Amino acid sequence: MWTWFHQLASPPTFYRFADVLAPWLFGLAVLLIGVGVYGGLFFAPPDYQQGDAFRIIYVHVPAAALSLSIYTLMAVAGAVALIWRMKLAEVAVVAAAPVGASFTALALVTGMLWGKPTWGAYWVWDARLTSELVLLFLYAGVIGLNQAYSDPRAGARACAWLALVGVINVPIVHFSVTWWNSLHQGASILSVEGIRNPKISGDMLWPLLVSLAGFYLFFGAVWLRRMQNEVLWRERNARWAQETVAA
Amino acid sequence: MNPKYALFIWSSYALALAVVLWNAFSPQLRRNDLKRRLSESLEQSGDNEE
Repeated sequence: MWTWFHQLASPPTFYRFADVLAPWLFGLAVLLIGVGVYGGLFFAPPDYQQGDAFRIIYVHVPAAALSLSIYTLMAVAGAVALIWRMKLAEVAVVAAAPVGASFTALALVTGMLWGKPTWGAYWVWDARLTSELVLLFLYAGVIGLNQAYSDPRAGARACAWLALVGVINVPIVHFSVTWWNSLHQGASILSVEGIRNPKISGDMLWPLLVSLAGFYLFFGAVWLRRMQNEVLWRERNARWAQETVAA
Repeated sequence: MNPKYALFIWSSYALALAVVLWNAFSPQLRRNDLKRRLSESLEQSGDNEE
Protein backbone atom coordinates (compact mmCIF):
# COMPACT_ATOMS: atom_id res chain seq x y z
CA MET A 1 0.00 0.00 0.00
CA TRP A 2 2.73 2.50 1.01
CA THR A 3 4.81 1.51 -2.01
CA TRP A 4 1.84 2.34 -4.24
CA PHE A 5 1.52 5.78 -2.55
CA HIS A 6 5.22 6.44 -3.07
CA GLN A 7 4.93 5.46 -6.72
CA LEU A 8 1.92 7.75 -7.10
CA ALA A 9 4.04 10.68 -5.93
CA SER A 10 6.16 10.30 -9.07
CA PRO A 11 4.90 12.84 -11.67
CA PRO A 12 4.54 10.44 -14.68
CA THR A 13 2.72 7.82 -12.55
CA PHE A 14 0.42 10.49 -11.15
CA TYR A 15 -0.25 11.89 -14.63
CA ARG A 16 -1.34 8.49 -15.98
CA PHE A 17 -3.36 7.70 -12.82
CA ALA A 18 -5.22 11.03 -13.09
CA ASP A 19 -5.86 10.43 -16.80
CA VAL A 20 -7.73 7.23 -15.92
CA LEU A 21 -9.53 8.44 -12.77
CA ALA A 22 -10.67 11.96 -13.75
CA PRO A 23 -13.21 10.99 -16.49
CA TRP A 24 -14.89 8.50 -14.13
CA LEU A 25 -15.11 11.07 -11.35
CA PHE A 26 -16.42 13.64 -13.79
CA GLY A 27 -19.11 11.32 -15.24
CA LEU A 28 -20.31 10.23 -11.81
CA ALA A 29 -20.29 13.84 -10.59
CA VAL A 30 -22.47 15.05 -13.48
CA LEU A 31 -24.93 12.21 -12.83
CA LEU A 32 -25.15 12.88 -9.08
CA ILE A 33 -25.38 16.67 -9.42
CA GLY A 34 -28.11 16.20 -12.05
CA VAL A 35 -30.13 13.84 -9.83
CA GLY A 36 -29.61 15.97 -6.70
CA VAL A 37 -30.57 19.24 -8.36
CA TYR A 38 -33.56 17.71 -10.16
CA GLY A 39 -34.76 16.12 -6.91
CA GLY A 40 -34.28 19.42 -5.07
CA LEU A 41 -36.13 21.47 -7.67
CA PHE A 42 -38.98 19.12 -8.53
CA PHE A 43 -39.41 16.44 -5.82
CA ALA A 44 -38.62 18.20 -2.53
CA PRO A 45 -41.69 19.91 -0.99
CA PRO A 46 -41.62 23.70 -0.37
CA ASP A 47 -40.48 24.78 3.09
CA TYR A 48 -43.35 25.77 5.43
CA GLN A 49 -41.69 29.14 6.20
CA GLN A 50 -39.40 29.94 3.27
CA GLY A 51 -41.50 28.42 0.48
CA ASP A 52 -39.49 27.71 -2.65
CA ALA A 53 -36.60 30.02 -1.69
CA PHE A 54 -35.11 27.18 0.36
CA ARG A 55 -34.29 25.36 -2.94
CA ILE A 56 -31.16 27.50 -3.19
CA ILE A 57 -29.82 25.08 -0.53
CA TYR A 58 -28.99 22.48 -3.24
CA VAL A 59 -26.26 24.68 -4.72
CA HIS A 60 -25.45 26.93 -1.74
CA VAL A 61 -24.62 24.20 0.79
CA PRO A 62 -22.38 22.12 -1.53
CA ALA A 63 -20.52 25.31 -2.56
CA ALA A 64 -20.05 26.39 1.07
CA ALA A 65 -19.00 22.88 2.19
CA LEU A 66 -16.48 22.70 -0.66
CA SER A 67 -15.08 26.15 0.18
CA LEU A 68 -14.14 24.90 3.67
CA SER A 69 -13.03 21.39 2.64
CA ILE A 70 -10.78 22.62 -0.18
CA TYR A 71 -9.00 25.09 2.08
CA THR A 72 -8.48 22.37 4.73
CA LEU A 73 -7.13 20.07 2.01
CA MET A 74 -4.75 22.83 0.87
CA ALA A 75 -3.47 23.23 4.44
CA VAL A 76 -2.85 19.46 4.77
CA ALA A 77 -1.11 19.35 1.38
CA GLY A 78 0.82 22.48 2.36
CA ALA A 79 2.06 20.82 5.56
CA VAL A 80 3.17 17.75 3.55
CA ALA A 81 4.91 20.03 1.02
CA LEU A 82 6.77 21.96 3.73
CA ILE A 83 7.72 18.98 5.93
CA TRP A 84 8.58 16.33 3.30
CA ARG A 85 9.25 18.71 0.37
CA MET A 86 7.02 16.60 -1.83
CA LYS A 87 6.57 18.21 -5.27
CA LEU A 88 3.12 16.74 -5.85
CA ALA A 89 1.86 18.23 -2.57
CA GLU A 90 3.06 21.68 -3.72
CA VAL A 91 1.16 21.15 -6.98
CA ALA A 92 -1.92 20.07 -5.00
CA VAL A 93 -1.96 23.37 -3.07
CA VAL A 94 -1.71 25.68 -6.08
CA ALA A 95 -4.09 23.60 -8.22
CA ALA A 96 -6.87 23.59 -5.61
CA ALA A 97 -6.89 27.35 -4.93
CA PRO A 98 -8.79 28.62 -8.04
CA VAL A 99 -11.44 25.91 -7.64
CA GLY A 100 -11.84 26.75 -3.95
CA ALA A 101 -12.07 30.47 -4.74
CA SER A 102 -14.79 29.90 -7.35
CA PHE A 103 -16.90 27.82 -4.94
CA THR A 104 -16.41 30.34 -2.11
CA ALA A 105 -17.61 33.14 -4.41
CA LEU A 106 -20.58 30.97 -5.43
CA ALA A 107 -21.43 30.26 -1.76
CA LEU A 108 -21.34 34.00 -1.00
CA VAL A 109 -23.45 35.08 -3.98
CA THR A 110 -26.05 32.30 -3.61
CA GLY A 111 -26.15 33.11 0.11
CA MET A 112 -26.92 36.73 -0.75
CA LEU A 113 -29.66 35.60 -3.15
CA TRP A 114 -31.11 33.45 -0.36
CA GLY A 115 -30.69 36.21 2.22
CA LYS A 116 -32.88 38.73 0.40
CA PRO A 117 -36.14 36.68 0.48
CA THR A 118 -35.53 35.21 3.97
CA TRP A 119 -33.80 38.01 5.90
CA GLY A 120 -34.84 40.98 3.78
CA ALA A 121 -31.21 41.93 3.06
CA TYR A 122 -28.58 40.73 0.64
CA TRP A 123 -25.73 41.25 3.08
CA VAL A 124 -25.24 41.72 6.82
CA TRP A 125 -21.88 41.93 8.59
CA ASP A 126 -22.67 38.72 10.40
CA ALA A 127 -19.91 36.39 11.75
CA ARG A 128 -20.65 33.61 9.22
CA LEU A 129 -20.82 35.89 6.18
CA THR A 130 -17.79 37.95 7.20
CA SER A 131 -15.59 34.92 7.94
CA GLU A 132 -16.61 33.34 4.60
CA LEU A 133 -15.61 36.61 2.88
CA VAL A 134 -12.23 36.42 4.69
CA LEU A 135 -11.91 32.89 3.27
CA LEU A 136 -12.37 34.28 -0.25
CA PHE A 137 -9.60 36.81 0.42
CA LEU A 138 -7.35 33.99 1.66
CA TYR A 139 -7.94 32.06 -1.57
CA ALA A 140 -7.20 35.22 -3.57
CA GLY A 141 -4.00 35.61 -1.52
CA VAL A 142 -2.86 32.08 -2.38
CA ILE A 143 -3.59 32.59 -6.11
CA GLY A 144 -1.83 35.98 -6.14
CA LEU A 145 1.16 34.70 -4.18
CA ASN A 146 1.63 31.81 -6.59
CA GLN A 147 1.61 34.15 -9.57
CA ALA A 148 4.02 36.60 -7.92
CA TYR A 149 6.93 34.14 -7.92
CA SER A 150 8.89 33.25 -11.03
CA ASP A 151 10.20 30.08 -9.36
CA PRO A 152 7.17 27.74 -9.09
CA ARG A 153 8.60 25.78 -6.14
CA ALA A 154 9.26 28.93 -4.10
CA GLY A 155 5.78 30.20 -4.99
CA ALA A 156 4.16 26.92 -3.97
CA ARG A 157 6.01 26.92 -0.63
CA ALA A 158 4.82 30.48 0.10
CA CYS A 159 1.27 29.36 -0.79
CA ALA A 160 1.65 26.38 1.55
CA TRP A 161 2.55 28.74 4.42
CA LEU A 162 -0.46 30.95 3.70
CA ALA A 163 -2.72 27.88 3.50
CA LEU A 164 -1.40 26.69 6.87
CA VAL A 165 -1.77 30.06 8.59
CA GLY A 166 -5.17 30.74 7.02
CA VAL A 167 -6.68 27.38 8.00
CA ILE A 168 -7.43 28.91 11.42
CA ASN A 169 -10.32 30.64 9.64
CA VAL A 170 -11.99 27.31 8.71
CA PRO A 171 -13.25 26.39 12.23
CA ILE A 172 -14.18 30.06 12.70
CA VAL A 173 -16.46 29.88 9.63
CA HIS A 174 -17.93 26.53 10.69
CA PHE A 175 -18.56 27.38 14.35
CA SER A 176 -19.38 31.07 13.86
CA VAL A 177 -23.11 30.27 14.03
CA THR A 178 -22.61 28.61 17.44
CA TRP A 179 -20.05 30.98 18.97
CA TRP A 180 -21.79 34.24 18.06
CA ASN A 181 -25.32 35.50 17.76
CA SER A 182 -25.86 34.99 14.05
CA LEU A 183 -28.62 35.66 11.56
CA HIS A 184 -27.43 32.60 9.64
CA GLN A 185 -29.08 29.33 10.65
CA GLY A 186 -27.14 26.74 12.66
CA ALA A 187 -25.70 23.48 11.29
CA SER A 188 -28.47 21.17 10.04
CA ILE A 189 -26.40 18.16 9.01
CA LEU A 190 -22.79 18.58 10.12
CA SER A 191 -23.32 18.41 13.88
CA VAL A 192 -23.66 15.52 16.34
CA GLU A 193 -27.19 16.66 17.20
CA GLY A 194 -28.01 17.05 13.49
CA ILE A 195 -27.00 13.43 12.76
CA ARG A 196 -28.86 12.02 15.80
CA ASN A 197 -31.99 14.01 15.20
CA PRO A 198 -32.06 15.47 11.64
CA LYS A 199 -33.46 19.00 11.50
CA ILE A 200 -34.42 18.59 7.85
CA SER A 201 -37.11 16.35 6.36
CA GLY A 202 -35.96 13.23 4.48
CA ASP A 203 -37.68 14.47 1.28
CA MET A 204 -35.49 17.56 1.38
CA LEU A 205 -32.38 15.81 2.71
CA TRP A 206 -31.72 13.12 0.07
CA PRO A 207 -31.35 15.53 -2.88
CA LEU A 208 -28.98 17.61 -0.73
CA LEU A 209 -26.79 14.60 0.14
CA VAL A 210 -26.74 13.44 -3.50
CA SER A 211 -25.87 16.96 -4.68
CA LEU A 212 -23.12 17.21 -2.02
CA ALA A 213 -21.59 13.90 -3.16
CA GLY A 214 -21.74 15.06 -6.79
CA PHE A 215 -20.03 18.39 -6.09
CA TYR A 216 -17.24 16.66 -4.11
CA LEU A 217 -16.61 14.22 -6.96
CA PHE A 218 -16.67 17.13 -9.41
CA PHE A 219 -14.00 18.88 -7.35
CA GLY A 220 -11.93 15.65 -7.40
CA ALA A 221 -12.07 15.51 -11.21
CA VAL A 222 -11.25 19.20 -11.71
CA TRP A 223 -8.46 19.12 -9.13
CA LEU A 224 -6.80 16.13 -10.83
CA ARG A 225 -7.00 17.90 -14.22
CA ARG A 226 -5.47 21.10 -12.84
CA MET A 227 -2.74 19.11 -11.08
CA GLN A 228 -1.96 17.34 -14.36
CA ASN A 229 -1.50 20.70 -16.12
CA GLU A 230 0.78 21.99 -13.38
CA VAL A 231 2.83 18.77 -13.38
CA LEU A 232 3.16 18.85 -17.18
CA TRP A 233 4.40 22.46 -17.10
CA ARG A 234 6.90 21.83 -14.30
CA GLU A 235 8.22 18.64 -15.91
CA ARG A 236 8.28 20.06 -19.45
CA ASN A 237 11.97 19.23 -19.87
CA ALA A 238 11.53 15.60 -18.80
CA ARG A 239 11.35 12.92 -21.50
CA TRP A 240 7.95 11.57 -20.33
CA ALA A 241 6.38 15.07 -20.55
CA GLN A 242 7.76 15.57 -24.06
CA GLU A 243 6.42 12.17 -25.11
CA THR A 244 3.02 13.07 -23.63
CA VAL A 245 2.95 16.33 -25.59
CA ALA A 246 4.04 14.61 -28.79
CA ALA A 247 1.41 11.81 -28.40
CA MET B 1 -43.89 33.77 -1.14
CA ASN B 2 -43.37 36.57 -3.58
CA PRO B 3 -43.18 35.18 -7.17
CA LYS B 4 -40.36 37.62 -7.96
CA TYR B 5 -38.13 35.47 -5.75
CA ALA B 6 -38.31 32.73 -8.39
CA LEU B 7 -35.73 34.91 -10.16
CA PHE B 8 -33.42 34.55 -7.13
CA ILE B 9 -33.71 30.75 -7.19
CA TRP B 10 -33.09 30.43 -10.93
CA SER B 11 -30.25 32.96 -10.76
CA SER B 12 -28.57 30.82 -8.09
CA TYR B 13 -28.77 27.78 -10.33
CA ALA B 14 -27.56 29.74 -13.36
CA LEU B 15 -24.55 31.00 -11.39
CA ALA B 16 -23.80 27.48 -10.13
CA LEU B 17 -23.95 26.22 -13.73
CA ALA B 18 -21.55 28.97 -14.81
CA VAL B 19 -19.09 28.05 -12.03
CA VAL B 20 -19.33 24.33 -12.87
CA LEU B 21 -18.81 24.97 -16.59
CA TRP B 22 -15.85 27.29 -15.94
CA ASN B 23 -14.26 24.69 -13.67
CA ALA B 24 -14.95 21.89 -16.15
CA PHE B 25 -13.56 23.62 -19.24
CA SER B 26 -10.76 25.89 -18.00
CA PRO B 27 -8.31 22.99 -17.28
CA GLN B 28 -8.94 21.62 -20.79
CA LEU B 29 -8.28 25.02 -22.39
CA ARG B 30 -5.12 25.41 -20.30
CA ARG B 31 -3.98 21.93 -21.28
CA ASN B 32 -4.48 22.64 -25.00
CA ASP B 33 -2.50 25.87 -24.61
CA LEU B 34 0.26 24.07 -22.69
CA LYS B 35 0.53 21.31 -25.27
CA ARG B 36 0.68 23.85 -28.09
CA ARG B 37 3.41 25.88 -26.36
CA LEU B 38 5.44 22.81 -25.43
CA SER B 39 5.23 21.28 -28.91
CA GLU B 40 6.28 24.62 -30.43
CA SER B 41 9.30 24.81 -28.13
CA LEU B 42 10.13 21.17 -28.94
CA GLU B 43 10.00 21.92 -32.68
CA GLN B 44 12.18 24.99 -32.16
CA SER B 45 14.80 23.05 -30.20
CA GLY B 46 14.74 20.37 -32.96
CA ASP B 47 15.38 23.06 -35.64
CA ASN B 48 18.28 24.52 -33.61
CA GLU B 49 19.92 21.09 -33.31
CA GLU B 50 19.76 20.66 -37.12
